[in-house]
Amino acid sequence: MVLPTTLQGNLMPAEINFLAENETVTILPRYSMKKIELIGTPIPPLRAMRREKVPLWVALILKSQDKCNIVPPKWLNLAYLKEKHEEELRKPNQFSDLPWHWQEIAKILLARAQDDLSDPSHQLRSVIQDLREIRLVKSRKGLKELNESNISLNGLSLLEINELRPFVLGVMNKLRSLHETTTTSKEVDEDMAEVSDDDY
Amino acid sequence: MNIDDILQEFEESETPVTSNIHNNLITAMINERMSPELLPFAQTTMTTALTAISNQQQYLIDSHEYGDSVGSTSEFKLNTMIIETEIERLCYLVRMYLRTRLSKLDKFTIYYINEEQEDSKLLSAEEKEYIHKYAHLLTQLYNNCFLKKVPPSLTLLDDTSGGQSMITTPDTNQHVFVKSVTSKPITLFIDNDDIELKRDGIYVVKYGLVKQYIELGDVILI
Repeated sequence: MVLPTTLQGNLMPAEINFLAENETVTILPRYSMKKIELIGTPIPPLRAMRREKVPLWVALILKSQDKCNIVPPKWLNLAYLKEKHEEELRKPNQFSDLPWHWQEIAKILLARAQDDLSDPSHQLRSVIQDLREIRLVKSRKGLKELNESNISLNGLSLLEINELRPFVLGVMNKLRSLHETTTTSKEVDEDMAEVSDDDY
Repeated sequence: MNIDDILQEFEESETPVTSNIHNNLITAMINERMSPELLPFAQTTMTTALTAISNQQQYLIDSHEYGDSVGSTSEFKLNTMIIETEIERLCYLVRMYLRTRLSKLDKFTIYYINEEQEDSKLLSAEEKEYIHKYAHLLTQLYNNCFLKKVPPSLTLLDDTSGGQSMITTPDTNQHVFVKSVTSKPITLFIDNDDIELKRDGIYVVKYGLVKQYIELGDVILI
Protein backbone atom coordinates (compact mmCIF):
# COMPACT_ATOMS: atom_id res chain seq x y z
CA MET A 1 0.00 0.00 0.00
CA VAL A 2 2.80 2.39 0.89
CA LEU A 3 4.66 1.11 -2.12
CA PRO A 4 2.66 0.00 -5.16
CA THR A 5 3.55 -3.49 -6.35
CA THR A 6 4.87 -2.04 -9.60
CA LEU A 7 7.63 -0.43 -7.56
CA GLN A 8 8.52 -3.51 -5.56
CA GLY A 9 11.49 -5.55 -6.64
CA ASN A 10 12.10 -3.52 -9.74
CA LEU A 11 12.85 0.04 -10.73
CA MET A 12 10.73 2.11 -13.04
CA PRO A 13 12.37 3.46 -16.18
CA ALA A 14 11.63 6.95 -14.89
CA GLU A 15 13.60 6.20 -11.75
CA ILE A 16 16.55 4.97 -13.75
CA ASN A 17 16.35 8.16 -15.71
CA PHE A 18 16.44 10.01 -12.41
CA LEU A 19 19.56 8.10 -11.39
CA ALA A 20 21.18 8.81 -14.73
CA GLU A 21 20.64 12.51 -14.20
CA ASN A 22 23.05 12.33 -11.28
CA GLU A 23 25.95 11.43 -13.55
CA THR A 24 28.33 14.28 -14.20
CA VAL A 25 28.76 15.87 -17.59
CA THR A 26 31.10 18.52 -18.85
CA ILE A 27 29.55 21.82 -19.78
CA LEU A 28 30.80 24.90 -21.53
CA PRO A 29 29.12 27.82 -19.78
CA ARG A 30 28.15 30.85 -21.83
CA TYR A 31 27.88 33.17 -18.88
CA SER A 32 29.67 33.47 -15.62
CA MET A 33 27.90 32.39 -12.53
CA LYS A 34 28.66 32.43 -8.86
CA LYS A 35 29.42 29.29 -6.96
CA ILE A 36 26.35 27.39 -5.75
CA GLU A 37 26.60 25.49 -2.50
CA LEU A 38 24.70 22.30 -3.06
CA ILE A 39 24.29 19.43 -0.64
CA GLY A 40 25.77 16.87 -2.98
CA THR A 41 28.52 18.20 -5.19
CA PRO A 42 28.84 22.00 -4.95
CA ILE A 43 28.84 23.73 -8.30
CA PRO A 44 32.10 25.58 -8.82
CA PRO A 45 32.02 29.21 -9.98
CA LEU A 46 31.28 29.12 -13.69
CA ARG A 47 33.19 31.28 -16.09
CA ALA A 48 32.25 31.76 -19.71
CA MET A 49 33.88 29.25 -22.06
CA ARG A 50 35.65 27.39 -19.29
CA ARG A 51 34.81 23.73 -18.99
CA GLU A 52 33.32 22.53 -15.75
CA LYS A 53 31.86 19.27 -14.54
CA VAL A 54 28.36 19.39 -13.12
CA PRO A 55 25.61 16.84 -12.55
CA LEU A 56 23.49 16.24 -15.62
CA TRP A 57 20.34 17.66 -14.07
CA VAL A 58 22.08 20.98 -13.38
CA ALA A 59 23.40 20.99 -16.91
CA LEU A 60 19.87 20.48 -18.22
CA ILE A 61 18.51 23.40 -16.21
CA LEU A 62 21.30 25.63 -17.45
CA LYS A 63 20.80 24.34 -20.98
CA SER A 64 17.09 25.04 -20.94
CA GLN A 65 17.90 28.62 -19.97
CA ASP A 66 20.48 28.83 -22.74
CA LYS A 67 23.27 29.39 -20.26
CA CYS A 68 25.59 26.64 -21.37
CA ASN A 69 26.48 24.07 -23.97
CA ILE A 70 26.79 20.47 -22.98
CA VAL A 71 29.95 18.72 -24.13
CA PRO A 72 28.75 15.29 -25.23
CA PRO A 73 30.46 12.41 -23.42
CA LYS A 74 33.28 10.81 -25.35
CA TRP A 75 31.27 7.70 -26.15
CA LEU A 76 28.32 9.56 -27.64
CA ASN A 77 29.38 9.89 -31.26
CA LEU A 78 28.85 7.92 -34.40
CA ALA A 79 32.37 6.55 -34.77
CA TYR A 80 32.59 5.20 -31.23
CA LEU A 81 29.12 3.68 -31.21
CA LYS A 82 29.59 2.11 -34.64
CA GLU A 83 32.78 0.53 -33.43
CA LYS A 84 30.96 -0.83 -30.40
CA HIS A 85 28.28 -2.19 -32.68
CA GLU A 86 30.89 -4.04 -34.68
CA GLU A 87 32.46 -5.30 -31.50
CA GLU A 88 29.09 -6.69 -30.47
CA LEU A 89 28.88 -8.50 -33.81
CA ARG A 90 32.42 -9.85 -33.51
CA LYS A 91 31.99 -11.23 -30.02
CA PRO A 92 28.70 -13.03 -29.97
CA ASN A 93 29.13 -14.27 -26.40
CA GLN A 94 30.11 -11.07 -24.72
CA PHE A 95 28.71 -7.61 -24.13
CA SER A 96 30.86 -4.70 -25.09
CA ASP A 97 31.75 -2.26 -22.43
CA LEU A 98 29.36 0.71 -22.36
CA PRO A 99 28.68 3.21 -19.59
CA TRP A 100 26.32 2.18 -16.81
CA HIS A 101 23.67 4.64 -18.01
CA TRP A 102 24.39 4.85 -21.74
CA GLN A 103 20.86 4.55 -23.05
CA GLU A 104 19.39 7.03 -20.63
CA ILE A 105 22.07 9.66 -21.08
CA ALA A 106 21.97 9.27 -24.85
CA LYS A 107 18.22 9.68 -24.82
CA ILE A 108 18.28 12.72 -22.56
CA LEU A 109 20.96 14.43 -24.60
CA LEU A 110 19.28 13.61 -27.90
CA ALA A 111 16.07 15.09 -26.63
CA ARG A 112 17.34 18.09 -24.75
CA ALA A 113 20.70 19.05 -26.23
CA GLN A 114 20.48 17.97 -29.83
CA ASP A 115 22.39 21.00 -31.09
CA ASP A 116 25.42 20.17 -28.94
CA LEU A 117 25.98 16.72 -30.40
CA SER A 118 28.67 16.36 -33.00
CA ASP A 119 26.75 14.02 -35.31
CA PRO A 120 23.30 14.26 -36.89
CA SER A 121 20.80 13.02 -34.37
CA HIS A 122 18.92 10.66 -36.70
CA GLN A 123 22.12 8.74 -37.39
CA LEU A 124 22.94 8.59 -33.69
CA ARG A 125 19.46 7.36 -32.91
CA SER A 126 19.69 4.64 -35.48
CA VAL A 127 23.07 3.36 -34.31
CA ILE A 128 21.87 3.42 -30.71
CA GLN A 129 18.81 1.46 -31.75
CA ASP A 130 21.01 -1.11 -33.53
CA LEU A 131 23.24 -1.42 -30.52
CA ARG A 132 20.30 -1.83 -28.20
CA GLU A 133 18.72 -4.49 -30.38
CA ILE A 134 21.83 -6.58 -30.77
CA ARG A 135 22.41 -6.50 -27.02
CA LEU A 136 18.81 -7.44 -26.41
CA VAL A 137 19.10 -10.43 -28.74
CA LYS A 138 22.25 -11.51 -26.94
CA SER A 139 20.74 -11.24 -23.52
CA ARG A 140 17.67 -13.17 -24.67
CA LYS A 141 19.92 -15.92 -26.02
CA GLY A 142 21.72 -15.93 -22.70
CA LEU A 143 18.48 -16.76 -20.93
CA LYS A 144 19.07 -20.38 -21.91
CA GLU A 145 21.94 -20.42 -19.45
CA LEU A 146 19.77 -19.63 -16.44
CA ASN A 147 20.30 -22.01 -13.54
CA GLU A 148 19.31 -22.22 -9.92
CA SER A 149 22.49 -20.96 -8.31
CA ASN A 150 24.16 -18.02 -9.99
CA ILE A 151 24.96 -16.21 -13.24
CA SER A 152 27.16 -13.29 -14.12
CA LEU A 153 26.06 -10.57 -16.49
CA ASN A 154 29.05 -8.38 -17.06
CA GLY A 155 28.73 -5.43 -19.35
CA LEU A 156 25.01 -4.88 -19.11
CA SER A 157 23.76 -1.45 -18.21
CA LEU A 158 21.24 -0.70 -15.50
CA LEU A 159 18.33 -0.18 -17.87
CA GLU A 160 19.02 -3.48 -19.61
CA ILE A 161 19.29 -5.28 -16.29
CA ASN A 162 16.03 -3.77 -15.22
CA GLU A 163 14.37 -5.09 -18.35
CA LEU A 164 15.62 -8.61 -17.68
CA ARG A 165 15.14 -8.63 -13.95
CA PRO A 166 11.51 -9.75 -13.52
CA PHE A 167 11.99 -12.70 -15.85
CA VAL A 168 15.43 -13.76 -14.64
CA LEU A 169 14.55 -13.62 -10.97
CA GLY A 170 11.25 -15.38 -11.52
CA VAL A 171 12.87 -18.23 -13.40
CA MET A 172 15.80 -18.56 -11.01
CA ASN A 173 13.56 -18.62 -7.97
CA LYS A 174 11.38 -21.29 -9.56
CA LEU A 175 14.43 -23.35 -10.48
CA ARG A 176 15.70 -22.93 -6.97
CA SER A 177 12.55 -24.29 -5.39
CA LEU A 178 12.58 -27.20 -7.84
CA HIS A 179 16.22 -27.83 -6.98
CA GLU A 180 15.48 -27.74 -3.26
CA THR A 181 12.72 -30.31 -3.58
CA THR A 182 14.95 -32.67 -5.58
CA THR A 183 17.79 -32.43 -3.07
CA THR A 184 15.53 -32.94 -0.08
CA SER A 185 13.76 -35.86 -1.70
CA LYS A 186 17.16 -37.38 -2.50
CA GLU A 187 18.15 -37.05 1.15
CA VAL A 188 14.91 -38.68 2.19
CA ASP A 189 15.60 -41.53 -0.24
CA GLU A 190 19.07 -41.98 1.21
CA ASP A 191 17.68 -42.03 4.72
CA MET A 192 15.18 -44.61 3.67
CA ALA A 193 17.92 -46.70 2.09
CA GLU A 194 19.97 -46.56 5.27
CA VAL A 195 17.02 -47.60 7.36
CA SER A 196 16.30 -50.53 5.10
CA ASP A 197 19.98 -51.54 5.19
CA ASP A 198 19.86 -51.64 8.96
CA ASP A 199 16.79 -53.78 8.92
CA TYR A 200 18.44 -56.60 7.14
CA MET B 1 44.03 21.09 -28.31
CA ASN B 2 44.35 23.83 -25.76
CA ILE B 3 45.41 23.68 -22.17
CA ASP B 4 41.85 23.20 -20.98
CA ASP B 5 41.46 20.03 -22.99
CA ILE B 6 44.67 18.65 -21.60
CA LEU B 7 43.56 19.45 -18.08
CA GLN B 8 40.23 17.91 -18.90
CA GLU B 9 41.77 14.65 -19.96
CA PHE B 10 43.91 14.63 -16.87
CA GLU B 11 40.84 15.06 -14.72
CA GLU B 12 39.00 12.34 -16.53
CA SER B 13 41.83 9.85 -16.14
CA GLU B 14 41.58 9.81 -12.37
CA THR B 15 38.45 8.30 -10.97
CA PRO B 16 36.99 10.59 -8.34
CA VAL B 17 36.12 8.85 -5.10
CA THR B 18 33.25 11.02 -3.99
CA SER B 19 31.40 9.53 -1.12
CA ASN B 20 28.82 12.18 -0.53
CA ILE B 21 25.33 12.32 0.87
CA HIS B 22 23.74 11.92 -2.52
CA ASN B 23 25.52 8.69 -3.39
CA ASN B 24 24.99 7.25 0.07
CA LEU B 25 21.28 7.95 -0.16
CA ILE B 26 21.01 6.37 -3.58
CA THR B 27 22.85 3.27 -2.46
CA ALA B 28 20.72 2.99 0.67
CA MET B 29 17.54 3.40 -1.35
CA ILE B 30 18.42 0.89 -4.06
CA ASN B 31 19.76 -1.66 -1.57
CA GLU B 32 16.56 -1.41 0.39
CA ARG B 33 14.42 -1.68 -2.74
CA MET B 34 16.16 -4.79 -4.00
CA SER B 35 16.76 -6.78 -0.85
CA PRO B 36 14.11 -9.26 0.22
CA GLU B 37 14.51 -8.39 3.90
CA LEU B 38 14.86 -5.21 5.90
CA LEU B 39 18.39 -3.84 6.10
CA PRO B 40 19.70 -2.04 9.18
CA PHE B 41 18.45 1.53 9.26
CA ALA B 42 21.01 3.87 7.68
CA GLN B 43 21.08 6.18 10.68
CA THR B 44 24.13 8.27 9.81
CA THR B 45 23.18 8.74 6.19
CA MET B 46 19.65 9.72 7.09
CA THR B 47 20.66 12.12 9.85
CA THR B 48 23.22 13.90 7.72
CA ALA B 49 20.86 14.05 4.75
CA LEU B 50 17.96 15.40 6.76
CA THR B 51 20.13 17.98 8.50
CA ALA B 52 21.60 19.08 5.19
CA ILE B 53 18.13 19.39 3.66
CA SER B 54 16.76 21.47 6.51
CA ASN B 55 19.85 23.68 6.51
CA GLN B 56 19.45 24.26 2.82
CA GLN B 57 15.76 25.07 3.26
CA GLN B 58 16.66 27.53 6.00
CA TYR B 59 19.21 29.07 3.67
CA LEU B 60 16.53 29.51 1.01
CA ILE B 61 14.16 31.17 3.48
CA ASP B 62 16.93 33.47 4.66
CA SER B 63 17.99 34.43 1.19
CA HIS B 64 14.38 35.19 0.28
CA GLU B 65 14.07 37.46 3.28
CA TYR B 66 17.37 39.24 3.14
CA GLY B 67 18.05 38.46 -0.51
CA ASP B 68 21.08 40.34 -1.75
CA SER B 69 19.59 42.96 -3.99
CA VAL B 70 23.06 43.55 -5.45
CA GLY B 71 23.11 40.40 -7.57
CA SER B 72 21.03 40.35 -10.72
CA THR B 73 17.56 38.96 -10.09
CA SER B 74 17.61 36.45 -12.92
CA GLU B 75 20.78 34.85 -11.63
CA PHE B 76 19.36 34.80 -8.14
CA LYS B 77 16.24 33.07 -9.44
CA LEU B 78 18.28 30.48 -11.30
CA ASN B 79 20.36 29.81 -8.22
CA THR B 80 17.30 29.37 -6.12
CA MET B 81 15.77 27.08 -8.67
CA ILE B 82 18.81 24.82 -8.76
CA ILE B 83 18.93 24.63 -4.98
CA GLU B 84 15.21 23.90 -4.79
CA THR B 85 15.52 21.20 -7.43
CA GLU B 86 18.28 19.55 -5.47
CA ILE B 87 16.23 19.58 -2.29
CA GLU B 88 13.34 17.99 -4.15
CA ARG B 89 15.60 15.32 -5.60
CA LEU B 90 17.01 14.45 -2.19
CA CYS B 91 13.57 14.45 -0.61
CA TYR B 92 12.41 11.99 -3.22
CA LEU B 93 15.23 9.63 -2.33
CA VAL B 94 14.50 9.92 1.38
CA ARG B 95 10.79 9.34 0.80
CA MET B 96 11.41 6.34 -1.40
CA TYR B 97 13.76 4.85 1.17
CA LEU B 98 11.28 5.22 4.01
CA ARG B 99 8.34 4.00 1.96
CA THR B 100 10.22 0.87 0.95
CA ARG B 101 11.03 0.14 4.56
CA LEU B 102 7.44 0.69 5.63
CA SER B 103 6.17 -1.67 2.96
CA LYS B 104 8.45 -4.37 4.33
CA LEU B 105 7.39 -3.67 7.89
CA ASP B 106 3.76 -4.01 6.82
CA LYS B 107 4.46 -7.30 5.16
CA PHE B 108 6.53 -8.93 7.89
CA THR B 109 5.08 -7.16 10.93
CA ILE B 110 5.14 -9.99 13.45
CA TYR B 111 8.52 -11.24 12.31
CA TYR B 112 10.16 -7.87 12.89
CA ILE B 113 8.41 -7.35 16.22
CA ASN B 114 9.97 -10.61 17.35
CA GLU B 115 13.35 -9.74 15.84
CA GLU B 116 13.48 -6.29 17.33
CA GLN B 117 15.56 -5.73 20.43
CA GLU B 118 16.08 -2.61 22.47
CA ASP B 119 19.51 -1.84 21.12
CA SER B 120 19.11 -3.22 17.63
CA LYS B 121 20.10 -1.07 14.69
CA LEU B 122 17.51 -2.66 12.45
CA LEU B 123 14.72 -0.17 13.03
CA SER B 124 14.74 3.53 13.74
CA ALA B 125 12.88 4.83 16.78
CA GLU B 126 9.99 6.02 14.61
CA GLU B 127 9.77 2.70 12.86
CA LYS B 128 9.66 0.87 16.19
CA GLU B 129 6.74 2.99 17.25
CA TYR B 130 5.06 2.48 13.91
CA ILE B 131 5.38 -1.28 13.85
CA HIS B 132 3.87 -1.67 17.31
CA LYS B 133 0.95 0.59 16.54
CA TYR B 134 0.39 -1.09 13.21
CA ALA B 135 0.41 -4.57 14.73
CA HIS B 136 -1.99 -3.39 17.42
CA LEU B 137 -4.44 -1.96 14.89
CA LEU B 138 -4.22 -4.99 12.68
CA THR B 139 -4.87 -7.43 15.51
CA GLN B 140 -7.79 -5.34 16.65
CA LEU B 141 -9.26 -5.31 13.18
CA TYR B 142 -8.87 -9.04 12.72
CA ASN B 143 -10.38 -9.69 16.13
CA ASN B 144 -13.38 -7.53 15.50
CA CYS B 145 -13.99 -8.82 12.03
CA PHE B 146 -13.73 -12.56 12.37
CA LEU B 147 -11.31 -13.89 14.94
CA LYS B 148 -13.79 -13.55 17.81
CA LYS B 149 -16.10 -15.94 16.00
CA VAL B 150 -13.59 -18.74 15.48
CA PRO B 151 -12.49 -21.19 18.20
CA PRO B 152 -9.86 -19.58 20.49
CA SER B 153 -7.24 -22.19 19.65
CA LEU B 154 -7.22 -20.95 16.06
CA THR B 155 -7.00 -17.25 16.77
CA LEU B 156 -3.27 -16.93 17.34
CA LEU B 157 -1.67 -14.79 14.67
CA ASP B 158 1.83 -15.96 15.55
CA ASP B 159 1.01 -19.63 15.77
CA THR B 160 4.01 -21.81 14.93
CA SER B 161 2.65 -25.18 16.03
CA GLY B 162 1.46 -27.81 13.62
CA GLY B 163 4.52 -27.63 11.40
CA GLN B 164 3.31 -24.49 9.68
CA SER B 165 4.43 -21.08 10.87
CA MET B 166 1.82 -18.34 10.70
CA ILE B 167 4.50 -15.67 10.67
CA THR B 168 5.44 -14.37 7.26
CA THR B 169 9.21 -14.29 7.07
CA PRO B 170 11.35 -12.73 4.38
CA ASP B 171 12.89 -15.25 2.00
CA THR B 172 16.63 -14.69 2.23
CA ASN B 173 17.35 -17.31 -0.38
CA GLN B 174 15.87 -15.17 -3.10
CA HIS B 175 18.13 -14.22 -5.95
CA VAL B 176 19.32 -10.66 -6.28
CA PHE B 177 21.36 -8.69 -8.78
CA VAL B 178 24.57 -7.47 -7.21
CA LYS B 179 27.53 -5.41 -8.24
CA SER B 180 30.86 -5.59 -6.51
CA VAL B 181 32.32 -2.20 -5.68
CA THR B 182 35.44 -3.15 -3.79
CA SER B 183 38.84 -3.65 -5.36
CA LYS B 184 39.56 -6.94 -3.66
CA PRO B 185 37.77 -9.92 -5.15
CA ILE B 186 35.17 -11.62 -2.99
CA THR B 187 34.85 -15.37 -3.11
CA LEU B 188 31.48 -16.94 -2.48
CA PHE B 189 31.02 -20.62 -1.82
CA ILE B 190 27.96 -22.20 -3.30
CA ASP B 191 27.51 -25.86 -2.46
CA ASN B 192 30.69 -27.39 -3.81
CA ASP B 193 31.39 -24.59 -6.19
CA ASP B 194 32.87 -21.18 -5.65
CA ILE B 195 32.55 -17.98 -7.63
CA GLU B 196 34.60 -14.86 -7.46
CA LEU B 197 33.03 -11.42 -7.53
CA LYS B 198 35.34 -9.05 -9.34
CA ARG B 199 35.17 -5.28 -9.14
CA ASP B 200 32.30 -3.80 -11.18
CA GLY B 201 31.15 -7.27 -12.12
CA ILE B 202 27.43 -7.93 -12.18
CA TYR B 203 26.14 -11.18 -10.75
CA VAL B 204 22.90 -12.82 -9.79
CA VAL B 205 23.30 -14.75 -6.56
CA LYS B 206 21.30 -15.74 -3.53
CA TYR B 207 20.74 -12.86 -1.16
CA GLY B 208 21.84 -14.86 1.88
CA LEU B 209 25.33 -15.32 0.44
CA VAL B 210 26.07 -11.65 -0.08
CA LYS B 211 24.21 -10.29 2.92
CA GLN B 212 27.33 -9.67 5.00
CA TYR B 213 29.10 -7.93 2.12
CA ILE B 214 26.11 -5.64 1.58
CA GLU B 215 26.27 -4.57 5.20
CA LEU B 216 29.99 -3.89 4.82
CA GLY B 217 29.32 -1.90 1.68
CA ASP B 218 31.61 -4.05 -0.49
CA VAL B 219 28.73 -5.14 -2.65
CA ILE B 220 25.72 -3.13 -3.73
CA LEU B 221 22.39 -4.34 -4.95
CA ILE B 222 21.22 -3.07 -8.30
